[in-house]
Amino acid sequence: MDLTEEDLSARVLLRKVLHTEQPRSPVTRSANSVRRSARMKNAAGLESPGSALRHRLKKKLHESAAASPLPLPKRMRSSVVKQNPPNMAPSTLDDEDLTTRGLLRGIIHMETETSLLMSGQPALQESEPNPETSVSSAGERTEGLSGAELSDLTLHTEPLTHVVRGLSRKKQQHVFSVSALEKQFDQLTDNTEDVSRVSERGDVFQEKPDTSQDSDFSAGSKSLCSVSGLNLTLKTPFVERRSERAVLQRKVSNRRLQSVEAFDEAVQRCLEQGPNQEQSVSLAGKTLDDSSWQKFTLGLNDVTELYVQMKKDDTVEPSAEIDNDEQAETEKDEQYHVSEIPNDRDSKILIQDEKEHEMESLLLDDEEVVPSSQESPRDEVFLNTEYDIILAPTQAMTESLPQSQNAELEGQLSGENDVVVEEIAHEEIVEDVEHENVVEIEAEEVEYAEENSDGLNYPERITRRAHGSEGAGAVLAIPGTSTRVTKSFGAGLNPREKDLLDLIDGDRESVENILDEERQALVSPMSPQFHHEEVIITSEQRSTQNEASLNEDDLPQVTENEDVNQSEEKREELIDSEPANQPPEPAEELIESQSANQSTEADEEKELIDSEPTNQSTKPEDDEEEEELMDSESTNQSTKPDDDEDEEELMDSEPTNQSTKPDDDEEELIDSEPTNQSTEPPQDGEDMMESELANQSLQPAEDKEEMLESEPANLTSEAAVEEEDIIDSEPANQSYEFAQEEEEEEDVDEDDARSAELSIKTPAFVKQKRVFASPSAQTTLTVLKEVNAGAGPQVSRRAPRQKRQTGTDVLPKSYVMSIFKHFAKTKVASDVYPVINEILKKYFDRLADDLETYATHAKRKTIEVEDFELLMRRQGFVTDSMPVNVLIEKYLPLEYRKLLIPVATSGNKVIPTQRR
Amino acid sequence: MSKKAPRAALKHHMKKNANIRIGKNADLMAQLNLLMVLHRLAEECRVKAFEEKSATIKTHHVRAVAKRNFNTMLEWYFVANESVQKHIPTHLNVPRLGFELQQIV
Repeated sequence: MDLTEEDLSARVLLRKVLHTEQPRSPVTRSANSVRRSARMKNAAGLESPGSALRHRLKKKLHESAAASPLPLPKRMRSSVVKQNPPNMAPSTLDDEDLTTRGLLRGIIHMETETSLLMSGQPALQESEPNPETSVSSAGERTEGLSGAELSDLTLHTEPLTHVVRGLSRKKQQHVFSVSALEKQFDQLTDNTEDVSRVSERGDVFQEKPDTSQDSDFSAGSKSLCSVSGLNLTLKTPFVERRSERAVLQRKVSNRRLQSVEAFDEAVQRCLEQGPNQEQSVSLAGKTLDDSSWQKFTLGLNDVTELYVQMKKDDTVEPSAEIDNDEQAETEKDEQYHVSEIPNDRDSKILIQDEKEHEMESLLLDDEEVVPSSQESPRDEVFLNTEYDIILAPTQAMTESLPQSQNAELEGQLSGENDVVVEEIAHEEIVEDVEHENVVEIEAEEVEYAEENSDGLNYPERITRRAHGSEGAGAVLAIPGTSTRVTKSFGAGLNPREKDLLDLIDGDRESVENILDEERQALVSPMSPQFHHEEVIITSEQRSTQNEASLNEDDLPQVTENEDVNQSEEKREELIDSEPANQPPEPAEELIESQSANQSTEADEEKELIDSEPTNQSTKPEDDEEEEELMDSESTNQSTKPDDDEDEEELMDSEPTNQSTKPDDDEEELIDSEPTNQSTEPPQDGEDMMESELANQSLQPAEDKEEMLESEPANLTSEAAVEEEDIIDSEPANQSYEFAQEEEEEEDVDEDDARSAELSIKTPAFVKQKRVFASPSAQTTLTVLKEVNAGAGPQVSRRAPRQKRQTGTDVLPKSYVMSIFKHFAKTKVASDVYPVINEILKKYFDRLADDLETYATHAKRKTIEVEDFELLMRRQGFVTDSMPVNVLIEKYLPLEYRKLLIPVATSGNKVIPTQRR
Repeated sequence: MSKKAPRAALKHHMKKNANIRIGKNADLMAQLNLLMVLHRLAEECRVKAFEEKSATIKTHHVRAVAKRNFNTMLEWYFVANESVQKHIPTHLNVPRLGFELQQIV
């Protein structure tokens, strides 16, 4: 058919269609509006809603009718037969139109019309204005045509569809592209019926239209119908609303989909980026681990090589001096030198080592690694130091690193240096060899001391020195902890390290680190291989180590400040404990405490390591006691098979804890140190113990340990008896005892102070410590000399102390993070823990206040379950639709549910027993 | 996986302020509340991370959420479900804390 003809007829048809459409529109008002329009003509000013609707419909029709109004009329007429009745209905009955059925009818009709209209856009366009005018002008006509037109429309729809198909489906498609989609969605969502109906009607229409087009048409018509229906819906207010709603709904869903998809994409991107980023962090750690492990396992040679390189690079001089000493010593020295020497290399190495440590301590978690990596280089330093201590070759590496770290620490803890220097002066036992180290360390310490003139530093230093030369208990403690840390990090911790760890409870990471560094220096020379030589050297080294440890302590202190909350807590605890202890043993305790506080995991390790060697190497006058304590601690740790096991476990946990919780390290340090860190929750104790064990177990230098063990065995046994739960306490006690015995002057005071502090937290623990300290101190003195690995146990002890300090306020990290991750359902960076911690702290405070208020309001003195229920109501977790029990079921494990929800069982029993 | 709730720690936290006592299983309820709060926090953090097209929840996400909502942390749903207050019988004369929080929010 010619378009013109169609057009001509289309115009007419359109008019008719328009007329019919309006009345047909789902909005019954169209009919009314049509009628009203007539009235409106009469009353131009008035615009009844119906007329308004009509106008809208008209507009929509025009828009949608861009297709092909032309054919519609004709075809619709043809198909009117069947459609008439249905068409009539909507047009005639407003009510029907209003109903969904009516709307659907209207839609269908409209669709057909629109589809037809769509096909012949030009014609439609022409017809559109016409119908508009005609519609507006002849409301009556529309009315009149409504019925007929409807039929016409219906009739026309088929032809329109045909036309549409024939003419340009593309056009139709284009036209329907957007609206069609929307409509489809709308139809799908809102008007399934419509679709079905449309389809049906489409079929109906199809029957009429050409057979050839049937198949296509059916689909097309259906789609068209559906689309047109959508169009129609758009035209009609009702339909619009529906479509709008549908659209809205659809949009929402779309958004969701998009969001999900986008999220996936984003996730992928992040993953892609993440691994890269993470690699930087974790890889480092990973590499470290690998490297560390390798180093430990294979890298003896490598390490030595590296170490040698480092030596060469960093400090030839000091190393040279040390070279005189045994290789181990040299290594130590080198390490120290390395550390002392510009931190550049060392820092790097340290970082590597730290990473290694971190990796080793991968036991902990990625979180640990992340935070560790994030944490100040002290951690690295400590780690490195630990590593250094662990393996001679590795030690070299680690020591070098820690040394570098020490250097860093030194820079940080200038104040310590001063103290260290002082201590060193006191301690100088064997300064031939140590001298070199001492000098170096002193330098470092001096630096530190300058920087940190805090009394805390002094005690720390003192402690360190004790390990090194003076055998300060604090130092021992620190190195002990550090060693423990090291153990955790490096399985290859040498027995010396173990000793150190044992000796040095993880009072403070920082202390540990420092001590570790020192110890490392000490330990390195003290490597089991060179026990003899090392002994001598160690003594020297100890002094140096002490200094170093002190420095480390200083550094950790400084670094602590730098560190994030983790260290803060530790420091606080440590500092608190330390100050108390410090009076008697300013430097030692402070150092230890500080180190514990400051040092991150790495620090702890280092300290531990340092402390260990310090303990082992030298038994300074006062420090010796500490050392002995440390050693005894370490030895005790080692000696006790149970302890060992526990310690080992602790060590493992310590490393994890250490890496994750610098606090733990501090705790450990504290433990090693006769501080009051023992008050830390069992976790800490466990950590300490672990560290101790780890230190002990790790350190192959069991000989030393044995030596120490034998002597401190008595002590440890006592400690064990007293503190079964907390092995660390034993070493801590040992260290404490050592401190007490050995350092009567200072240690006693310190111990008392520490013990006082500790007593605040764990009186028993303190007592134990004291007890152990006394007997162990004496024995350890000899043992220390023999056992280089005393630093190990000391180090381990430190860790728990540190941990305790931080752990008092918050929930265990593993627990919290696991819950958070479980709820988050996405990856969670491990460094969010401090933030969550703070949040939880505040939360608990508020919680306690609220609950107290509730209980008081109920005139009760105990907080009951109903108080919580009320709280949850206020929080909005419990509503009328969400009772408490549901929540209980939802979240709590079974055993807890049983306790909270009474369950009726057979025999007329209710569990839990209800008291009426 | 269900985790063992550190009852002792929770109890310790609750008793921090005063000598108030804790009921028999009240700390379990505290555990429940903690879980819910963490849950809500995690959800919000997750949403926030999504906003930044990040698959991982980072610290700044958590901080932002906490800052925005911490005042209402304990009263997490308070603003959202103010209607809850209605459910609380007035005769209890419970101080409605939400007001201040609302202001903060």
